[in-house]
Amino acid sequence: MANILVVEDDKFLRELIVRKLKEENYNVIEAIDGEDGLAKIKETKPDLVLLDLILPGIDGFELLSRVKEDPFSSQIPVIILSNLGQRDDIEKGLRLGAVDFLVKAHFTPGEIIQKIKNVLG
Amino acid sequence: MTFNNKKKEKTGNFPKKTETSQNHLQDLAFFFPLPLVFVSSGGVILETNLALNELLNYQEGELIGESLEKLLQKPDFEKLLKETLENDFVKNFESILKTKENKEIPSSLYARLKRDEKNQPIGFFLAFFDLRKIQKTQKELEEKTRDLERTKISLLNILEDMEEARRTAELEQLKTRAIINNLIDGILFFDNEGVLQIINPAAKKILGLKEENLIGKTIEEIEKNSLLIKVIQAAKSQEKDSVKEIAFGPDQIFELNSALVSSETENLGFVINIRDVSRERRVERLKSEFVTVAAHQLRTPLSAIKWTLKMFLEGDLGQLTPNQLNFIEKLYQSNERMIELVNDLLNVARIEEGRQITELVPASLESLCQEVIDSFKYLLDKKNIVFGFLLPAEKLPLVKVDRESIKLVIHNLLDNAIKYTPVGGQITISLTKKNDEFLEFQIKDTGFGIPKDQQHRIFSRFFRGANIIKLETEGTGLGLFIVKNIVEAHGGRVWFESEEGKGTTFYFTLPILQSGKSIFEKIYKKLFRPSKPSFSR
Repeated sequence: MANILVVEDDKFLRELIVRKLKEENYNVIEAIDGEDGLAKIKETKPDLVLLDLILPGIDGFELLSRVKEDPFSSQIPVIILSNLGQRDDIEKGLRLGAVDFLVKAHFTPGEIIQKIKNVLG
Repeated sequence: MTFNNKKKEKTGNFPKKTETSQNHLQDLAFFFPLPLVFVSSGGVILETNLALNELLNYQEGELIGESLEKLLQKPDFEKLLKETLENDFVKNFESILKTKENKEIPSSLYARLKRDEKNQPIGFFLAFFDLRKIQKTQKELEEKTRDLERTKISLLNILEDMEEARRTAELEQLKTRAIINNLIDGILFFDNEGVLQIINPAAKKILGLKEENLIGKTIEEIEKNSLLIKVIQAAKSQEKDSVKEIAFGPDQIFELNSALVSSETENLGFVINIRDVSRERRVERLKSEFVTVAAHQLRTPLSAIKWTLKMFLEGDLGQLTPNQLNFIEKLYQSNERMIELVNDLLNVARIEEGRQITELVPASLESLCQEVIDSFKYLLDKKNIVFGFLLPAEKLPLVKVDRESIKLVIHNLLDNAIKYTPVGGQITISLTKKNDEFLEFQIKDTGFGIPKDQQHRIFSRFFRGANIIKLETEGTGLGLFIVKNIVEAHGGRVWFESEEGKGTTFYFTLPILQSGKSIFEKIYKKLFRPSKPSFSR
């Protein structure tokens, strides 16, 4: 089954989405901030990254652009799952190479899984 | 008759010659146009000439032997007699001559005493000037003089009024000048030729202009001042009736307003008003930033609640009884309302920061409506609402809008209509071309309506209809505030008609995309030669 990296600094949210993903039989890798996220990408080369934007240290935008710049990771699809949702944020995220931009409060875990399934095909 | 005693007088030395000259003189006196009379020193008329007889209407010789009193008033007659005897000569003696019919003729008299060889007075000559003609002329002259006097007075009055008006105007000008000079706002006035006519100290300070002699210079001559260029360019791009903001530095924000100044017939120039709004903007930004941060912070726990409740509802977290699930479903709906409120707060904060309308692009209002309508299909069906979307036969022109903002407007209006219309009601959206400048959007529902006494508050923040609150229908009270702000920021207008129990119709207009430039661009083009690179840049 596909490996999914969840980069999310809020412990409870991370637990919820990880639980849902595991129920859907995905292999889940967790990262608690941007730096951790970059390291885990190098280490595991996941099939998809679920990325929060507001993170301590290296933020989601920064992580995204580094992932896309590096040929090793540039092909990994990244779905942004964030509290941000203004048009400029969304445009910036998509411009940097995210495949989708989900505003946390606007999607249920089930809908998020559906988006992941769509991307992984 | 004849001047007999002249004849006698001259007789003697040159009888023959004097005889001739005597006749000659008689004829002369007789035809002389001036009325003449010879009177004895006692006042008896001895001779008269033709002019006198004609003047006084007597036959020839009729007056001979009569007293001079027949011609003159007694006092005048006596006075004249006395003065003549005393002085030998009297001139300009004014008196009244009487005609045969006793008509009065104002006259001026000349008298000359005549003496014999022994120097004894033997009589005197009298000549009369008819003063009537002279008096008439004099009267006319006096009248004319009076006219002139009156004219002079009127002229003086006019001059005085003009002077008064000038003083008033001067005073008004001083007042206006003083007001302009003491305004906190900067004021610049350029005339039709682009020549600076007025600049107040505030404007100089804002623009950092130190020179003294700016008045009378053209924009081109002052243009090396980059701030002024910025102002002119900003004014150039200003849309009608909108306020342009311009930043001179990170914390220096100015509000710019320019307007044409025109008399009834011609453009006099244009005035630019610059207001320092740095402090207001700083406070507003802090407030909005606070709201934005708070709203974002709220989203994390709200998402956690949403996800958890949903996972309960979907059985991911273990099985619950139907009763428990019922409560969880209600909790989930409450949480959704909270999320909606946060979204609205974020939108309001954006509006207040002026960031709501960022990108104006040509768009079809029809397709924007359709996109929003599609997203509500499920709800419309669920409430069994009869929905209609009416379009005119001819294709509607495009509008220049911020797509997401206008979709939010339509979203909020349709959302309201659905919320406040009971199951089985009707909602109709229609688009029309109102005139050459505006498209009109209309959404009509058969809902609860807005109570009359609350209609004036409907677009204010956190307003919710009293009748609606009782129904416990969800809503944040921010939707219409957002609608109004977005529509007005696009240069449109929003209004409504509503009757409680019957329904509500909301309207808004949006300016049609015009192929030409903005109004101000047109004006500036006219005012300043477009060939100048500094204005076409």
